[in-house]
Amino acid sequence: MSESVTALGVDLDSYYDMDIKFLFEKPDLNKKIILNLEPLTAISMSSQLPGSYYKSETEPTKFMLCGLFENILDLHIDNKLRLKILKDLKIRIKKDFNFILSTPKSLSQFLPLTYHLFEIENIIIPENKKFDDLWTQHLKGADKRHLNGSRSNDWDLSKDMYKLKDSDKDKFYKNNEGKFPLYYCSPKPREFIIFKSSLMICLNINESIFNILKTKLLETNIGYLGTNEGWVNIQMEET
Amino acid sequence: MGKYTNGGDIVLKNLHPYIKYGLALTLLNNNKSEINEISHKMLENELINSLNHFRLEPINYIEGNPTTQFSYISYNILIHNDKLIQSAGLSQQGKYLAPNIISTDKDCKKTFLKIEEFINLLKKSTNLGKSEVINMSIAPITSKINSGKNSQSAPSATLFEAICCAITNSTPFKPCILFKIILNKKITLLPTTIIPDLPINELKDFIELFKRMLLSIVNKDLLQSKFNIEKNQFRRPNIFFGNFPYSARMYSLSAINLIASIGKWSEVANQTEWAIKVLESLKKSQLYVVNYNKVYSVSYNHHIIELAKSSKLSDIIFSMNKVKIYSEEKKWDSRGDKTPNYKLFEFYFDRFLQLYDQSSFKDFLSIRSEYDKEIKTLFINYFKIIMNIPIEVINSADSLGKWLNQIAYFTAKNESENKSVKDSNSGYKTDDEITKMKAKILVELESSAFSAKDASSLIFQVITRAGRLSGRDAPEDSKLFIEKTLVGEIDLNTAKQLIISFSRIKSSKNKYKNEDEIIEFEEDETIENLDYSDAQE
Repeated sequence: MSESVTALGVDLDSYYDMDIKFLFEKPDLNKKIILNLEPLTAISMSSQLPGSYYKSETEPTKFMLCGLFENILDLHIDNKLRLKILKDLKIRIKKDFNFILSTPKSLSQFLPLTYHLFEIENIIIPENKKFDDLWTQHLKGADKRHLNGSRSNDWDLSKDMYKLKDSDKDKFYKNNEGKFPLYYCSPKPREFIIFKSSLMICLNINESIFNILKTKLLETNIGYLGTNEGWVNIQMEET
Repeated sequence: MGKYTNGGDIVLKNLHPYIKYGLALTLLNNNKSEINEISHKMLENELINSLNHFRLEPINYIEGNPTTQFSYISYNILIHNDKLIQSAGLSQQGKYLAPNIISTDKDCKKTFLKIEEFINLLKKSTNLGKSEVINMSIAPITSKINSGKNSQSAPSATLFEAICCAITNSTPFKPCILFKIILNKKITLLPTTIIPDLPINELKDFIELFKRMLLSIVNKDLLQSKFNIEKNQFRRPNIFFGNFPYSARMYSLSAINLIASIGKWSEVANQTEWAIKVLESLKKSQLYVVNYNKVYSVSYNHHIIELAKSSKLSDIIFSMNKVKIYSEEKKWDSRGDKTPNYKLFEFYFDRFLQLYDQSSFKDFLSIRSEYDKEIKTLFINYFKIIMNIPIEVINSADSLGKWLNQIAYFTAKNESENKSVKDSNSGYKTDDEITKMKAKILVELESSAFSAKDASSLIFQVITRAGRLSGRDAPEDSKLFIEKTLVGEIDLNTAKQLIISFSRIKSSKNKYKNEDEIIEFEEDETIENLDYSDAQE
């Protein structure tokens, strides 16, 4: 969606009018709610030192909740557009409400748009158990690693691939880059957590985003926490 | 705190254990409690201390005296001698890379240079909140990733976090052990550390206790080794087999070994209260085993950690090192690596201690062998707590198992004596023969137990067979167990496990080699040319 928006050169303002008006409202955190996240699967919430081993946090960070909300709100926007929106957001909020907005970036280079619209007060973590499992990391390489890690490739390469020597792989990959998938797979150990019951998160949240979330949750109350496999059932209660 | 993190929402309790350990160590060494109190100088001192423990060298080696003492090469010497940091052939001269540097022989120079760079930055009082790349040289837990870009790059964090990682990665005040694994068909030696994930105050307690253990008198021969006179080579000093006291020298069990050694040390050093506090905190935490090739986490069942509060667990792990597996003739293969069945056995044992449930116990029993009597504590604990069997019944099953084991031994002894009279061979083989014969008889008894389809056939198949072999009756004490099994109060599978596990415990004193095996690491020069590109992906 985001790509088509930028590619077609749609005016940002018209885009704002459609979806993201609420971002530009006064960032008052005037609503107190309890966010109830019921994990439907093992959750992995990795935020620091990624790479060889993905250690999971025991509780979600604010960035993860931003990701969760933005997924529900259909804000599937790429980084370029996010930067533009945030730049604009900063200026408008400064102008309208005399409020200086901080726009942090997560360690995984995620630029949340909803960061200023809520605040975590308290998180109650249920009993849990951690374990390691393999997880597929998608990577893009420029040498034989890409060839070795790709699960599939163009069929007409098969006749050359089977007799390929290890030393020629680099060159072969470079010559046939277009015939391999964009990403190769590298299995990595990752820590997962099984929660015995729901996570309860006390939030101070902006009223307008809360109302939009509430209507969206009537359609579907499933979100993703941590990874795109971390399915959770979402419930929101006013206090 | 805010100035040290760029994410903005990283709070102290959510810090990665690899960052947290370095932070806790700095706080502890400077007797501070707040992160804001940490100064540039303190971090610098920690890093310099790490580089003072970078490489070992043999000192005062006298020809003829087999005991070699090692010491660390100081930072000042390393600065002026580039070749001592990393060059080919250093390990042949006994100048080993210290096990606390979590890197490899090939990549340790990167670690050294990175730490040196940090020292220079700290000297210039650089802002600690500035962004800094964290690569494998200071945190093997990371590697290059794409994170939305076209080319791969190492992840970043603040300078403060990077320095904390570097401290954890290089400090001598952490549990470490040298792993020996086969990578790309070659033996590779990897310094490995075990980092617990604890809240910062409990982590400080852990480090303080660990430092005391490290420097205590029971650990005094850490930097010693015996010179290999036949090969005219240095052997690696004891520190490589685990820098904590009472290391059982089994790297696959190193994490539980560390926990056990805390218990054992506390008993010897009379520090029980302190150690119990630390062990109690470890019940809820994960332990991260980190080396350059692999990172994994383990957490042991709280009943096992309860056992560690005395020296019992340490004894159990030591006895596991002496276990001889029936199906495997040799414990070590030609490359100096453990044979597959021994590896599997250790894996099953480790998993049993982690999960401590019926299915993992079943797996553990699936590899046939005899155990030393120390393991009885573990079995009794397991059957009592996990399987809810009354202690009288367990004791009764124990006496039946003991009887079976004795029968196997005496039958084997009789047979081998008869045989040796026939063969009129010299007697030195008899012990070995008895062991083999005993194994055969035990396996036979076990098979008859395994194949039993109901309680009565279990009891009578085993007892009849054993009775025929020995011409004796089952002991009086086993009556209770037999009754309970026949009545059906004990589940058939549990009853089988009771008989099998207790019959495997040696009743007599261990007759085999009791002394610590000297495990030798083969120094292979090719290690330094190893390709780690796969590991870095």
